[in-house]
Amino acid sequence: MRTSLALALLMSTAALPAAAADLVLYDALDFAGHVAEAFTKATGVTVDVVEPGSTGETLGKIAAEGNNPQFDILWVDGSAVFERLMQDGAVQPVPADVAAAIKFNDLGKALTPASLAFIPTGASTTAIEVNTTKVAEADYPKSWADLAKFAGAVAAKDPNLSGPAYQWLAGFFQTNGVDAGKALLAQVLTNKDLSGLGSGGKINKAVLTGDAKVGINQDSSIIAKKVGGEPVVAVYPSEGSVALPEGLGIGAKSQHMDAVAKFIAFVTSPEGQAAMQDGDDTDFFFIPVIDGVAPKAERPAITFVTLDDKMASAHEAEWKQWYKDSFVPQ
Amino acid sequence: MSLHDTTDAAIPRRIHLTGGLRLPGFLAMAAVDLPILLVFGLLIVLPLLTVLAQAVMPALFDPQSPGLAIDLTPLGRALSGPRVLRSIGHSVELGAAVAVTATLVGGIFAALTQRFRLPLRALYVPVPWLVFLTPAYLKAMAWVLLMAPGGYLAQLGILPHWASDAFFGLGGLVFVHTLSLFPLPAFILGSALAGLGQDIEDAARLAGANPWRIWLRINLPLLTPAIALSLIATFAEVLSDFGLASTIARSSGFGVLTYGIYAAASDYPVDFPMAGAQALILLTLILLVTLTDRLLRKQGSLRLISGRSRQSLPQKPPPLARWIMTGVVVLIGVLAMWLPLVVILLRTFTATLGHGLEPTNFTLSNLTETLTPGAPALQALGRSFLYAALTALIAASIALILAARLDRAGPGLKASVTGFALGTIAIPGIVLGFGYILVWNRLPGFRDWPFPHYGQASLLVTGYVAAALPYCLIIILTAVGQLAPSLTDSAKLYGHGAVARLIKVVLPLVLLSVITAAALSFIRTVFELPISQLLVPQTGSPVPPYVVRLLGHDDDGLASALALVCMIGAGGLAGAGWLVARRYLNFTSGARP
Amino acid sequence: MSWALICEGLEKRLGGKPVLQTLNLNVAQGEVVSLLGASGSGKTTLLRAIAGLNHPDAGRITLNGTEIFAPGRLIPAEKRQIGMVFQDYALWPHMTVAGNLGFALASQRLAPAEAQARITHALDVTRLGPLRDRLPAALSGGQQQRVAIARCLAARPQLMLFDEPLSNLDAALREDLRTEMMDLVRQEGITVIYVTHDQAEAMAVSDRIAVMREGEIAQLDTPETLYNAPATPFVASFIGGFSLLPGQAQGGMFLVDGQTLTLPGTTGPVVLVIRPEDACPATLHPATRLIAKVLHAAYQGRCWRLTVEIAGQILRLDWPNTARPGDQLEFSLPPDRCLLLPIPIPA
Repeated sequence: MRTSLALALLMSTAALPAAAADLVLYDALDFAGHVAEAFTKATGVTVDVVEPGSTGETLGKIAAEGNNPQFDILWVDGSAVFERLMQDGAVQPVPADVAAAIKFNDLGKALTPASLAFIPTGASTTAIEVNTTKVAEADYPKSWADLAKFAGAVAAKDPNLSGPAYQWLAGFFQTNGVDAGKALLAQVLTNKDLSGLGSGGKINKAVLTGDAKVGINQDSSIIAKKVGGEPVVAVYPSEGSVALPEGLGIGAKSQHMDAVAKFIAFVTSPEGQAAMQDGDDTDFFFIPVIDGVAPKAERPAITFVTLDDKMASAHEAEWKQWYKDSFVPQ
Repeated sequence: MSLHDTTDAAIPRRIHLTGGLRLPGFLAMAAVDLPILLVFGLLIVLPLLTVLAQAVMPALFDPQSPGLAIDLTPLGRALSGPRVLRSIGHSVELGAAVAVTATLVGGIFAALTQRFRLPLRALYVPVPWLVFLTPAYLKAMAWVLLMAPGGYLAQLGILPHWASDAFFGLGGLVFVHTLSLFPLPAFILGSALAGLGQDIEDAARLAGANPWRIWLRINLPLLTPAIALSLIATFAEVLSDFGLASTIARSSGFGVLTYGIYAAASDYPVDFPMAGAQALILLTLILLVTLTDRLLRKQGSLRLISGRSRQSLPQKPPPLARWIMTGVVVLIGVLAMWLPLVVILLRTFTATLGHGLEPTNFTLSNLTETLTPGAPALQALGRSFLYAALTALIAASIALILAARLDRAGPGLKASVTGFALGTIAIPGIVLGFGYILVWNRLPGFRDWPFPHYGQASLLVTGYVAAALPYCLIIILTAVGQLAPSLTDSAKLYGHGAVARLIKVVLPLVLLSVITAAALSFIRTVFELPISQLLVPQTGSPVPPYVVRLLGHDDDGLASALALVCMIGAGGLAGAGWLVARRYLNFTSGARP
Repeated sequence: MSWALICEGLEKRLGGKPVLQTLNLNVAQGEVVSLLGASGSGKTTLLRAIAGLNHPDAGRITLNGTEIFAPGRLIPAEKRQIGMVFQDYALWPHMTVAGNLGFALASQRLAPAEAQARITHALDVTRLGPLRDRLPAALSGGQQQRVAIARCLAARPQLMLFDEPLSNLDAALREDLRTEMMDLVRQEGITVIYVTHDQAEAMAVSDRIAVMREGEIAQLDTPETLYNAPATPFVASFIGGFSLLPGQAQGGMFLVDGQTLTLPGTTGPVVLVIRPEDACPATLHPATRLIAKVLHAAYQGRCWRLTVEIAGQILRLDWPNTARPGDQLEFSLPPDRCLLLPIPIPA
């Protein structure tokens, strides 16, 4: 009898709200909640927004879900990661007709993968963050190779913990070559206190406080700080930057394909894009991939490099381990 | 009805269940308590096993080709790689250092506050409770705000550079951990001290021993079991800590095992076997330390011969000693609680860290942004409070039922369940969280349960209950253990069944302890982090992942505001409830022999 | 006459309530004085004040000529050389029996040989020799109490205080241990103050008894005097077995419930002290006869203990035969044993 008492108590948790929404969205982006609200207002389709934390934590949760994913839509920075997710049966390709209906600009078309593991809704790239009060304009680094001048004072993210950081590393090896790239980084990232930071926010802090003179950071993060009045500027390296798409993918076991299609259509419409720019956090300052949409903040012309996703995902474990062993403190 | 009939009716029905046979006590107990043991097994053992098993069965949850093959390579990889070995070394080093310092600080604090009448009590008496209940990541945030190169102390010019550097290393970690964990030894040693009784000290005084000799030759040797327990409990807490490991330790390059587990499991592809291997190593370390302690103290604890031993009254020390002692406890209180609290307050009411304490920097915007109705922050608060309240209720109830049963059990079962509960405290929340996802989302047979159901708040609350249950159990078991058995025996003889006895006899007498356990669970659950992150419901996030996200975005102003509101709200609610209970619902006078 | 202990004018208040009120007590060398009273009477407070474990608010305590407590002078408990036997023995649980005794001697800085000799002697007289290496937890209650006594004896204190030493022991053990304890104490000639709430125990062990009530000594006398001539109704009620019968005294008569006894005494409301063994057959003392209603009869081996009632008041009498509840019983009291005490008017 006392055990049924205990069970009755546990059952009281049934009083808790269960998921009643039409769509479940996992994301690690600043604007997702805002966009979901706008979407519901426009179409009446309800969305449950699940944000476990950073990209890393979101992916960890998805990894634990394994081949029984519980999300309808995944919206995170990164492209290589979606390929991997599709291989593992967590994500299914976007239906070709849905993808075809989107009016991408050139960048958008370049970023959409053939496998349709995801579609890009915006992009950012990696740039060099420079503290304008600590570095004279004449001395700004203009390429990755210029970083050698700032050896020991460069802040960088650990790709094991940051999706954009891995994209940058893979792209950097693509533009500068794997061996030459490894040599350059070994020369530049000599200060282990700065070379394995966990997030863009920490890079900002390191550069702003003067611990580092320059940093390798997501450009939208730099621009967000600049627009907020901080003394930083984003410099785009001459070798070219890898564009990091904000990818939107579909859960492999999703039962709500209609609602998903509506969501994708909304996000890629002018209304959705406007919602995605309606805020001042990092992700709101993305580079548009849809025709006719202007970026929230002006950028100079950027040389884009398209990432070879297959190569990036093939070497992922190896390159991440190498970075960890070389630059991340114990 | 003859006495014989009554006694027969009073013999628990377990015997009638087995057709009149008398089973050995343990088996008989197990037969009836199976549902309760199942609950424990389901809440803690099964999720834990799914994570640990992957250390030796790496293909267990492989998305492409799952299998049960035993393969020790992950363990081998873990133990041979320099990184993990270094984490083990760091964890043990940190754990041992903090165990000693926290026990020292906690012991001194307990001795001074209990044995002496000192002034300014409000500054330090509530401190251990409040410190115990605030999460490590908030304290870490406060100390980083203070000690970082661009932080408040540096801005005020007080902090030399070498001090800041020293802080982000082993020294600072030990410092913050000690201040954060000293309440546990303070509670343990405090209650052991109270149990010593006044008479043995009086006898020593009359025998001519001065206070130092009394402490050295009488009190300390008798406190040895409690000291050992403090050392072990603190060691386990440090080893399984995640809040400090992921903030200060990470930035100091001082990697520890819990962070290793997190790093292995927070990317794609996830290295679950590695995470499992490190979790296995961590728990083995704690088990080793506990066993060593058991072996060294084989003669068992010295039963103090009391019955009606007098409680020791606090004395008034001579003036100089009084000020020194007061200074010490006030310093502990300030460093452990007041200073971090002031820092969080300052950060809440300032717009940016960079501009420090300039008058123009002060603003209410962080607070208003947090408290606006409909704001995500306020919604998160509401959710956290609701889940925490449910958790408190459920965990305290289950613990009460279990404790009442266990109190009558043989010493073997009682000791093993208590040991198990203590061990559960050592399981990092992050391991438990992953275990929950694996069990309730992947294991066939579990994933289709209507509740608790993965993705819904029901599973989150279940996880919270599992995390809170050990603490509730220990508190309530202690209280139930102090009741005279004759109280329930007499009720039994009057024909009251087990549930009636529980509700009408045991519960009112231990009500205060139950409410204490519930209040404790409430506050801890509001701030619980890793399980909140991993099991975040689809309907919306509770407070901790939200705060951590704000911290990640460098929004420490908003994070501080939210943390502050949470602390005041949770602390206020729980504290008020507890004070009311203590005033009106304390029926215990006369129940204790 | 040299007093071992002199307490003058001791006063103490706890939380506003007076616990000791202008208390005076003198104890002679080698004397055993009991403090007898109910809980709250102040007896334990007085004992602990003598020991130095609490401090009175006013007064003076002199021990063997030395002031140990006086205005402007205080000798702490550690230095008073007073031994105390506690109710729950207060043995140090982590030390063996010999260890307990050794620690008690440690502060006296004796030569090791002398210390050992004292320990051995103390263990011998308490018959604890074979147990010297045991831990207290391995001993029975009676053995533990003997260790506590041995511990005190070994230290050769100027004064020994006993704080209800027998109340934690089984009734069967009590009398034996009590005899043993007091033999030891007498043998060594130690001055003793003995606190108890059990009047039979106090009677058995003491040279004099101080009956205490609300922080004051109601009567300080030898056991015989207390038994035969209690000073007030309160003291009389404390002595076991006594029954008190309130009535009126007038012109050499005692009137109660319409019955009259010829007893000289004062005038006014009084109480008649009736000892159980005083009850005689009615014909023996016709002038002091009483009739009462029998309530219960209990066989006691030697006689029957009858509980009877007069005018609502319960009396206990020893009677050679039994009687049926409800019967009337007529008995008489020897006039020289009858004691009339005036009822004090409450202050």
